[in-house]
This record gives sequence, structure tokens and C-alpha cells, in this order.
Amino acid sequence: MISIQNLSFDYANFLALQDITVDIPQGSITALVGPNGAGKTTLMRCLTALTLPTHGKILMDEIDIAVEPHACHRMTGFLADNFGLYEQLTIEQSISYFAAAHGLKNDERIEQVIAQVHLTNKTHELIKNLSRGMRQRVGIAQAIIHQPKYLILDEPASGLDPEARIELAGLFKKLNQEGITLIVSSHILAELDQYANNLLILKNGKIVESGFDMNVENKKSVNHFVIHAANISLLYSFANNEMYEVLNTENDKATIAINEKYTLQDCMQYFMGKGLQVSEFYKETGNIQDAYLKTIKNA
Amino acid sequence: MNKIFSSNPELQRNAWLELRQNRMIVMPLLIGLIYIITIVIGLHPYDKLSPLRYVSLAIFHILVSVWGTKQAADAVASEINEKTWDRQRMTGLSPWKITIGKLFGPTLFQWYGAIWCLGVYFLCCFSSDNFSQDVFIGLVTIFSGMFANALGLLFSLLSITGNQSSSFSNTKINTTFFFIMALLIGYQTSSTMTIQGLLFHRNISWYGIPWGNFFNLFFVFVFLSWGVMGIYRNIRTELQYKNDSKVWLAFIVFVIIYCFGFSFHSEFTDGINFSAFDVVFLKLNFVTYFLVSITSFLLLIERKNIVDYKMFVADFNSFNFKKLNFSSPLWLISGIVSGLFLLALATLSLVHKPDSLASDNFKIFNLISDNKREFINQHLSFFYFGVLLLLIRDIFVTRFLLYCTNFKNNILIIVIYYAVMYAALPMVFGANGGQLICLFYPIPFTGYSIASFISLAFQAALAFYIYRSSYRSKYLNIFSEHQL
Repeated sequence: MISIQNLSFDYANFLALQDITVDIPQGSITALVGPNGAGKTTLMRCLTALTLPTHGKILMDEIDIAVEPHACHRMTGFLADNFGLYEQLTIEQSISYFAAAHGLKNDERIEQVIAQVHLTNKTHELIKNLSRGMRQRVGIAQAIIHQPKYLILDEPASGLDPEARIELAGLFKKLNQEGITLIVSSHILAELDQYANNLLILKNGKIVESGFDMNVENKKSVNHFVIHAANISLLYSFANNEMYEVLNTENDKATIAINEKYTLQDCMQYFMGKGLQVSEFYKETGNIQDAYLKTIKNA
Repeated sequence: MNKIFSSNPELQRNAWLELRQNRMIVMPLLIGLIYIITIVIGLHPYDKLSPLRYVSLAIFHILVSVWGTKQAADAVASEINEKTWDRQRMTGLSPWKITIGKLFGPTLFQWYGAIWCLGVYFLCCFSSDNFSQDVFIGLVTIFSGMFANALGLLFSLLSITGNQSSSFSNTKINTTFFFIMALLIGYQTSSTMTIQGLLFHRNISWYGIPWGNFFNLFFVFVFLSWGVMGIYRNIRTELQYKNDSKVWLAFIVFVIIYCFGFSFHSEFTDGINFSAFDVVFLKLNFVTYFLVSITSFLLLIERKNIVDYKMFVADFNSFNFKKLNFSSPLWLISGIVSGLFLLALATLSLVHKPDSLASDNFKIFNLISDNKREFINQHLSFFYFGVLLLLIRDIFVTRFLLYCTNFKNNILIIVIYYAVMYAALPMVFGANGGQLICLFYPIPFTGYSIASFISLAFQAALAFYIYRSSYRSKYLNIFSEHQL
């Protein structure tokens, strides 16, 4: 787990981060979002021990990264927003260099990582000839070559076409399933929705919202459910406003808010009894974009 | 060779980049062509090998001292410009491996060419009348080349190290200035010794011992070692290791011991025997000159990022010596030692008048005045206080230019400041025996010392006031009251 405690960072004449305290759970994919200048990049640089905080501390698996920055580097992979690559090297040379620089002498690991980012048939290609999407994958390969526990990515999808973004999202989910905790900053909120399960919203160097399992939005909508039924319009004719309220309907789908006095089971029994042909019935989950916009507006 | 490369990934990476097959074929062909032209032209009709020796050294200097130094100066700067430095900082590479990799990696191709030249040079030495001397020249040249490379990398690192914003800003670092400084200082330190000590057969006496050729070889190596140590310390800082002040203090002590060891050559003194006091007094002057020069040079190139500088200011104001041991800039340490030496000289000149320096035959001060007797006067101590005030003035002016202004290229602004203060003003005010020059510089002549002292004290106080008020107004919202 990463524990950020009273973290502040000041750049000469402005405070980029102000007294941030938050935990980032092990195994999560955290979406780090916020307007430009909110302090996202500074926070990421502090998390990677590339920049040491002015005040406060960051504990990575109980290790203070200001005291042991190299322990942090061993545990962390980082892909900066405007990262560079060694243009004159081939993909294989570039990955081999980082493997050796991390003290790895295992060629199998190099092949494994290249395969992981789907670049196996491009190993002898010079990096300067690669597309933006491929460069991004080389950058990720370099960041994960030493099998870090934490992977921090600053705007990894910027400049990528939709296909490359979908591929990247798939790769992040896969890495997460392999046990890597990811922290991803992005302006493309719809994309973060695909894989993030934790949200951290920064504004003016302060955390304005944080939550696990997207409960930022969910905690505000614990009684909201989505129903799919062929005869959904019947919902309005039941006239049991005491039990539920229809929030909106769209084609064969409706979102309802169940009164606190009733349970989901009560509601289901009632609908079945009234002949509603329910095909699907699930809890409405939050979405990053809505959560972000609401939080930023209120902050 | 492969073993060396595989043991240092940074060297390996540079070998992939620098030692490409086509380059490795072209280099010896070009060098060979130059040798053929040299033999054909045949400057010495009866001695074909002497020109080859000189040409070998010339090519070596072009390849290693000039091109190699530029490459070394660019080693880290180019990584920052290309946004690859942060990734490298996060690898498990040790500071020593990066030091060696950055010093010898980008210059591999130049050294590859240099090996051919050195091979020819040492072969030609066998035909030389003075074999051992020529071999020494070759060895000193090798270390001189490495020393110039080390300085190039060191100077650019000094201006980069700790400048955290540089690694993710879009400002490109230009190393041309550091490259030129490395060439100038490297040449002064090593090549001058080589030429004077070896070619002109001037036997260098150090602590009264005639060291011969060995002195040059040994001290070029020692200077190189200090250069490499400096690079290592800066790389450590880049990798977030903490450095204390011990090594820099050790270097200052080395400079003092090194400068103190030289005897004054009879050419300068016309064989006059100085009293023991005068010798010590002169050597103290010599040492102080170097210390003040080092401090001034550091004021020009050493940069801390503003966050670290603020921490240093906070530690300084709270007299937290434990923290100051880690946060002090190098200029402060050498500045304090310079100050102590200047105070010692001022005190010594009060209690004892160095009579033999007034001798008409003493030629060192010919550079300063034709009327040598005027040099020694009752106001000599004001001269040393004046130098101290000059240093204090420069400290606050350069700190003001670095941290309180919004110039994009602060180093250029400081270079211009130095050029105006130490070149333009002397020319303007010193022309036709102008006396106003004493308002800007400590002048050791009767009648000027006190005017100089008062003027410089005013300038130092003004520089401090401007720096302090600008600093406070710029960073007031962040700083607590006790900070500057």
C-alpha cells in the first residue's frame, strides 16, 4: 500500500501540493484526475522519488521513500507524460539496457516483457521509426521490466488513436490482474472508466475527493438500480410511489430509486407480481466523468 | 572489451550508439589519410617521424580534448533534453557506474580514434632522442584529455544538479559555455604544465623537492581524480543520495596544500632571498588568489533549484549546522575559507610589513604598477578587506540574478555581469591612468585603498539590500518570518 501523509511541495512561489493525506490500496487501479495545474504530475514525481517532498512523507510498503529512494525505484515503474526514448536503439537493445540497468541478467524476462506489450515481431526495429502507440508500449515495457509492484503512468493515452487506447486499457487491466497496483492520470475520463476502480481528484494541490471501488458516486446512489424489461413503460402505471421513484427511462431500461424502507427483494417481488418482464436488474454504478464533474464543481 | 561493456549497461548503451561499424571503419581511414599527407609534405626532410609525433598529439587533442569534451559536457544534458534522464535515475545503476558510463561512454568513438593516434605516437617515440620525456608527454596528454572531458561533464552537471524542474520542463540545456570553460581550465591546468614542465625543461620544485617529469604526470592524474570525484558526487545528488561537505572541504585543503608547495622561481625574484615571513605571505596571497577564483567561478556556474536554495536559506538563518552540512552550496564553503584567508592576510599585513616585497627587483607586481615601492603601504590591509567586500558583493548580485529575476538564461546574465564588472569598467575607468577605477576595485596603492574600501563596502551593502528585499517580496507568501 502507498500511504501519503501530510504531503506538501512548493515550487518557489506557489504550493503545488498542500497537505495531502491519502492511502492508495494495494491491487487497485487509481485514476488520478484534476484540472491542469492541479498538481498531478508533481504528486506522481513525488511518488516515484524523483522529486522529494518539501514536507510530509510517502510510505511505500512502510518504507519512507525520502529515506530510501532506491527502494522506491526498485518497487516502482514510471511512465512520464513527455517521456523520451533512445531513438537510435532498437526495441530489443532499449529493453535490454533497462533490464541490465536494473541488474537483470535474464533474457527470458526481456522476451516476456516484449511479448507482454505485443512488440515481439518488432524487436529489431529502431525506436525512431515507431508509431506513437508503439512508443508508448516500449515506454511501458521499460517501466515494467523489473517487475515493479507499483506502476505510475502520467497521461499514458494522450495522442493515441482509439484502437491504441483500447489496447492500452486492456494492457493495464492485465497488468493489474498480475498484481501491479496502477496509478494513472488522464484527461480522458471515459477511458479511465474502463479500468480504474479507485478515484483521486486533485484541485489546486489539494485532494477534493478520493474513494475506493468508485464509491465516490456510489455512496450517493446506494438505492439506485437499473432495470431492463420489454414492457418497461408499465413502471409508471403501478402507482406505488411509496416504494420507488422512476428517475429516468430509455428504451427498455429504467433507473429507479428504491425507498429506504424497502429492500431490493421487496421491489423485485412487487414487479414480478405486477407482470413486469424483468430481464436484468442491477445496481447503478458511478462513473468517473460524473463523479469528477460533480466534485470539481462543488470543490 | 565485451566484459567491460556488459558490466556497465551505460557503457554498453553508448557502445551501441557510438561504435557503429561504418564509423569504426571511417575513423582510421581518415586518420591514416592525415598521416599520409604529413609524410608526403615532410616538414622534416631527414626526420619523418617527428612530424608524425606532433600530428598524433594534435589529432588526439582535436578528438579527445575538443570533440570528446563537448560530448562529455552533453552526456547528461542531452538525456535531460531528450527526456530520458528521469528513467535512468530510476534504474538500479550505481552512482559509480553512471559516472564511468557518462564520462567514457559518449566519448568512446573519440577514444577509439585516439587509440590509433597514440599507437602511432608511442611507436614514433622509439626514434626520439629523448624517449622517456616523449613517453611522459604522451601519458600526460592522455590524462589531460580525460581531465578536460571530466571538467566538461562536471561543469554541466554543476549547473544541472538538483535543478528538478529541468527534467520535465521544455527548456533545452545548452552546454557550449561549460564546454568552453572546461577547455580553458583543462588546458590551463594540464597542458601548461606539460609544455612548461616537459618541453621547456623547467624543473618544478614543490615543497623544495625537484619533482621532474613525474610531477606533471602525478598531478594531472590527481586533478583528473578530483574531477571524477566531483562528477560522482553530482551524480549521487541526482540519484537522491545526500552529500555532506567533507569532500569539497578536502578538495579546498588539497588546493591550499598544492598551491603552498610551489617555490617562487628565480626568474621572478632575481635571486633575492626573501625572509621566511615574506615567503609565507606571498604563498598565502597565491593560495587566496586561487580560493577567490574558485569561489567566483562557482558563483557563476553552480545552481541549486529554488526549493533546495530555500531550504539552505532556512538552515542558514536558523544556524542549523547539522543540516547546513548537507544543504550548503559549494561556493559558500570555499567563500568562507577564502574569507578566512583574506582576513589572515589583512591581519598579517597590519602586524608585519613584508619589506622584501618592496624591492625594485621584485617583478611579480610589475603587472600592477611601475612604482613598486608604492605597493607596500600602511593601508595594505584595506586591500584585503576590499577583496572580501568584492566577493560579498558578487555573492549577493549573482544570487539576486539567479533567484530574484525572471531571466531565462541566468548564466548568460551572470557572464555579462562579470564581463561588465571585470572587463568593461576597468577599460572605461582605467583608461589614461584614470583614478576612478578604485571605486570598483581594491587598489593596493597609497591614497586609493581607503576610497576603494568605502566604495566597495557601500556596494556590498547595496547588493545585500537589493537581494534581500527582492527575495522577500518574491517568496514572501511561502516564507516564515525568520527567513530572508
